[in-house]
Amino acid sequence: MPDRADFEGIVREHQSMVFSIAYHFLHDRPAAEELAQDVFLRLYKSFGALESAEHLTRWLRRVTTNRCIDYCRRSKLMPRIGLEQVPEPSSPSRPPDPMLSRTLRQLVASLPGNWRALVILKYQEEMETEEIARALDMPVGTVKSQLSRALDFLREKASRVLGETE
Amino acid sequence: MSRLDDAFREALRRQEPPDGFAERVMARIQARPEQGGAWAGLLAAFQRPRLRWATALAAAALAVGAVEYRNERERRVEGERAKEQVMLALRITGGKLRLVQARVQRIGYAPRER
Amino acid sequence: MRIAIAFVAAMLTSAWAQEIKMPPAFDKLAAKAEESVDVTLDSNMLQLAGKFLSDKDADQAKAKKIISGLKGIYVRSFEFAKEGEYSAADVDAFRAQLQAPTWSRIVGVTSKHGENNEVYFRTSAGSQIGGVVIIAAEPKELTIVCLSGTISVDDLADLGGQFGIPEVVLPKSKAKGKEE
Repeated sequence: MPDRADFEGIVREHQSMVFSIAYHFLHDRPAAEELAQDVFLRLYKSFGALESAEHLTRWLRRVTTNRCIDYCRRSKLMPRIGLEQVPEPSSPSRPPDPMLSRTLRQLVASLPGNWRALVILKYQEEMETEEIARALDMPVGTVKSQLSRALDFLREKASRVLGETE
Repeated sequence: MSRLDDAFREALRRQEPPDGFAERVMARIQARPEQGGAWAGLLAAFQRPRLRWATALAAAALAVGAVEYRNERERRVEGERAKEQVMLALRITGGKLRLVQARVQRIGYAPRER
Repeated sequence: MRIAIAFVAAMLTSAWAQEIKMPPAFDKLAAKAEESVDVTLDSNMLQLAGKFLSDKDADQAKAKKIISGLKGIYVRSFEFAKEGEYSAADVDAFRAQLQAPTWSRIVGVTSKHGENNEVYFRTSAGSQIGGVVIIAAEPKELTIVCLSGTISVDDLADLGGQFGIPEVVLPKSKAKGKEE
């Protein structure tokens, strides 16, 4: 078991990453905190198996993402927000407004579980396809094709929000 | 396309968890019983008659502490949820008030001074 | 939103929350809605929420101030896939409760596109409002907001400009076809 003072430092270092993945996935702050706490408890138990700081980060991303997907399956938490219900402004080409981020987060939260995970890791963690594949233990080709479909879908839906045509 | 990517990056940027998150994680870790050696030690203590009552009291205190911790954790989850509900309700209220205001202004309604 | 209001000088002590009830029909609307919001916060929950609202965050600090005088917040909001999913009777049943003398209809805006927005205040002493009800009825959306307890006109006016809510800009001729 790791030294508790050291472990607390590790929690503080990675808490925003873990919490944010959970929050952007679940769109529910209390549930996200609960899930994030569970991830760190698991980390405490599994700490001895980790080999490096990079391994630790990868482990956290994978476990958090998998826990989110499991949570959604268990609670039958299909997208809270139907894709059709994400509001679109009646007039295009509006400048970004405070609601834009919220709308985009709703868009992401409306995606199916796997797609949601990939998009969050791409944009929140700014990971490349190969990094995402390694983190989630998925084939690179699968990540590429699923991410591509998810992004095409999001871009088509979101392009009207930003007033872009491409 | 990069503008959209930037918008998603902004929307999905990392957020800090609620205050005290690390403390709550460490409190949960503290509340967990130690594995292996501690259980064996507890069993050995129970086998010695003189220590039985002391060990039972300690176990009871630990159980009470764990229950209190669980209650506090549940209270915290409930409080955070209530907070989110308040913010949601006030956002909806404010949004509807602004909508009414905009519609009134559009038709040029000037409320009578009373 | 600053609205000149005349108040009857009478302090109301009856249990507000019990006077305004959400009609049972609203439960059925939730089942038909594509998305619904149901917020029910009594005084205990508001007190609890107040302990978790941060003074360091401007929005949360403002929210904390607003709810300090409130005894309850009740919101029902439904978004439907198509028009006609709720009836005028559903709203009338709720609105009938606001015909009592203690309630004043402050604003009512209707349009031929089927949008009907109303704001009611419950009278209270001084510059405080004893309760607020908002009815926002649109072809594919129905929202009812009830704020029970005291709230100042200033706080209510601030509500419209807080919490990241953007200014509403209505097009000159509302394009109904844009609505889903």
